[in-house]
Amino acid sequence: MTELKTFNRTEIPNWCPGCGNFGIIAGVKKTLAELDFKPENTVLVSGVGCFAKLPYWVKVNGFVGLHGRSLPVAQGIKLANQKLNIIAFGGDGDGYGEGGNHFIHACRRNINLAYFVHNNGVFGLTTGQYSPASEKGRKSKSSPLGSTEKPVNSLALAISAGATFVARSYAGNLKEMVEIMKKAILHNGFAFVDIIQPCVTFNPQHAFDYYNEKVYYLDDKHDPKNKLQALEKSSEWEKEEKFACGIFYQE
Amino acid sequence: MIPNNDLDINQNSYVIRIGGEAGWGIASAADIIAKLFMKLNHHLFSSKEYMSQIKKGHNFHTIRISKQQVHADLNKIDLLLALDQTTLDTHQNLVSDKGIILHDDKVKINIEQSKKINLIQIPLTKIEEKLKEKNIHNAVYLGSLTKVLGIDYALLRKIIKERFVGKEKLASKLLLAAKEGYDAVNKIQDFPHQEENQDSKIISDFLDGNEAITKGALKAGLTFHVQYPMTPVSGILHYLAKEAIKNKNLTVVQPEDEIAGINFALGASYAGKRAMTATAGGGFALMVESLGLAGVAEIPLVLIEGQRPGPGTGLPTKTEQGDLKFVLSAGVGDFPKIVIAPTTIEECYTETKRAFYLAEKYQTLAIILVDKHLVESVKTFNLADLEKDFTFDYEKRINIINQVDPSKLNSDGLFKRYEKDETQRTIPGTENGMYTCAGDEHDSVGEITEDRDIRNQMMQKRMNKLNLIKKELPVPKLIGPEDADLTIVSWGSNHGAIIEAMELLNSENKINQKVNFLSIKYMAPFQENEIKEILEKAKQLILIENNYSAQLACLIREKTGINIENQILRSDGRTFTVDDVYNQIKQKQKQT
Ligand SMILES: Cc1ncc(C[n+]2csc(CCOP(=O)(O)OP(=O)(O)O)c2C)c(N)n1
Ligand code: SF4
Ligand SMILES: [Mg+2]
Repeated sequence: MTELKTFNRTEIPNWCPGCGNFGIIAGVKKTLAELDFKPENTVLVSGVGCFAKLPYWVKVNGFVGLHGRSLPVAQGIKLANQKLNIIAFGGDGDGYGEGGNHFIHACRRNINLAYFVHNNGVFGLTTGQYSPASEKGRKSKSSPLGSTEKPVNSLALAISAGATFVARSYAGNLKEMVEIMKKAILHNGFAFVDIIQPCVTFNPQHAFDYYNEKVYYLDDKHDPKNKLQALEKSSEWEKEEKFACGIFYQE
Repeated sequence: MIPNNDLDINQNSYVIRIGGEAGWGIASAADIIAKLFMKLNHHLFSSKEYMSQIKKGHNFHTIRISKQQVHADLNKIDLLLALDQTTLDTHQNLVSDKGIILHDDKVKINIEQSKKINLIQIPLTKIEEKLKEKNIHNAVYLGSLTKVLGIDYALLRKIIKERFVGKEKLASKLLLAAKEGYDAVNKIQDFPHQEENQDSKIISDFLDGNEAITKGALKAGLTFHVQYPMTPVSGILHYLAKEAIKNKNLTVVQPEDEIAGINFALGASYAGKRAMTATAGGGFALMVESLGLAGVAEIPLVLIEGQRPGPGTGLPTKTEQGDLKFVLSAGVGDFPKIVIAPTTIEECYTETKRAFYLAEKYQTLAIILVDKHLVESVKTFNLADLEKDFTFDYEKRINIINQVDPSKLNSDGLFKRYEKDETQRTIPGTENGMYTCAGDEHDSVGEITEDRDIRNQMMQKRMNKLNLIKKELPVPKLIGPEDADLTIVSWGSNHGAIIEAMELLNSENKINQKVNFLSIKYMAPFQENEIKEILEKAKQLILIENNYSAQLACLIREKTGINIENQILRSDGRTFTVDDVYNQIKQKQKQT
């Protein structure tokens, strides 16, 4: 196993204290170490948002591009060199809004890379406007009377767009998150993980204590080979306030 | 002056136009006509005009044939193949005296009696009935053309057979039709200089600008192409997709949109491929944000921008030079951007190679700015002869290292790729070569920063590339007599028509009416000193551009302070013919 500290850099992340991104960056490093990846053969690709700074603070190759565009860059890199291990990152604004079209087509194209979306339900970096993942009625600077839009169901979207690995994870549970990250990276094809990432500053209603209560883990009763069951499961949170984590669908 | 129906092609050229509805095989007929004359050892220039629809509509191809190289369209036609009424009605007035019109029994003739035109009717209905076939007019007309010009039928047969190898059934159907067309009409004249070309090297290549670009790119070591289809550069995608079947080093991707396209290309280039993308103005508009990413993250990229008339969807299948200012200013903030506008199909080849060289060496964006008339017109030349115009060591990667000296690592062990004097980069997979390829302003290892001094240093470092690039560009030179009375200034695909018109004007030997020509190719970095010197020496200036607002004139004024008031502009979607340039310059000369 590659030592965890191999992936450390001196620079300290400037996320807000208590931000869910700290859990995710710890999970990424642990995953890379446990998979015994060489830093020089690993590329982390991101866009723009609070989440997107992650590659600046991991000692591997990084590519921090434009808002919403991590997927096309990551696919270009993978097509250029199949030997590289590639993780692309998105935010709920970046990946489901600005880059939504790329998401659909990356699912269809099924190029072998992992895609982690830090879903905090807001536009963090631009100070908390509602995002495509915000709940209906969410009040923010750009929706003073509450948003009138339904939140995107990214898991169902990915499954119907043809993704071959679809999972949800929670930044508040390092152990489970690392397991999913490893499986996503080892999956041969496009592997999408929506990671619940509490934003303590702009979405305090949905911080860790909220999710600690609402998150549960899929068990043997869920068959990830069953597409219809996966679709049904991925819509559960639209009806009840609970969030299943684990692999929803895998081909 | 130009219309020359005496078949004296030693002096001049012979123009054939074929027109009909979309879906009738006009393009393949035009291609066969071209092959016919290439085999007979003639040079060609061929252009096409078509409508943005797949069936019906009015499409035509024009093939200009000459013993010498020819570079542009003329107004007059010597032989019109009018496959439908629209073609006959639209083009009959352009047919020169003693010219020929081939038509069939399905059209109505209404031509002035005074014109000395050879009208030849093909009994198409009878032929169709005899062969029990429809949709064979293109082959019938090809047969008739061969007879009318006194060309050996065996040559046409040979070309059709070669073209449809593997589709023998279709070939024999077409040959039956062609033979009927041949037998149905009489010979009018003997096309001179009919030696068959045995030595294929004499005129070896017949390429459009799109294909010349792909040949240049492949020669320069292209390994990754990504493109969302758009006229007029879809040809590039088609050529390369076909090439990739046998070329295992080449990856070709059709992405979901142009934003994805350019970002795929940037990812691949970062990871070590020689990458290219191509689009027209509309797709380029979508790419604009990503241009700056190439600039700030210092990623090499070659981008082909094929202009067509806007605004919006505009005239999607026509030609214009309306994107010059847009392309030059496109992007967020300042970054080094190379913009080269080839002026001939030959230069599409050469300048694409140069773009790859400069993009890789200076790790930035190089745009090849072309237009529909340049990339979709076809011309004969010898590619091998162009090699000397610009070469570099295509096999060797420029400024890419696979070993990093420990002195170039920071305390975390990251490669100081963006350090002030560092000109080299690593690609992912290189031991000790890690850094962050950053779209944010960054320090020497690509770490995000907002530090004022670092920002200044980085801006200096990046923008200085333009000074270095400028030193590598060939200096602009006047074409034609040094001491002319009038200097034409232009760019891009107008070049061909202008040099031919210039030669005609100068051959008339009128005192005080000598003309020369400054053809501007490097738009960014702009060679302002050299260009200013040339313009200041000129006695009189006249500008020719295919756009509404004289965009090159604006650029010249911005860079040199020289205002060219005398302008010939058009923005009707059509190109300048030799006649257009000749006549308009004559008129201006009369006025002064
Ligand atoms: C093209 C473009 N539009 C808008 C922005 C401004 N912007 C930066 S981050 C962001 C939203 C970020 O939200 P999200 O992707 O959810 O990431 P988070 O900050 O929540 O991690 C926006 C709109 C931008 N940088 N680029
Ligand atoms: S704003 Fe939210 S997402 Fe951004 S760093 Fe702060 S807590 Fe994290
Ligand atoms: Mg967010």
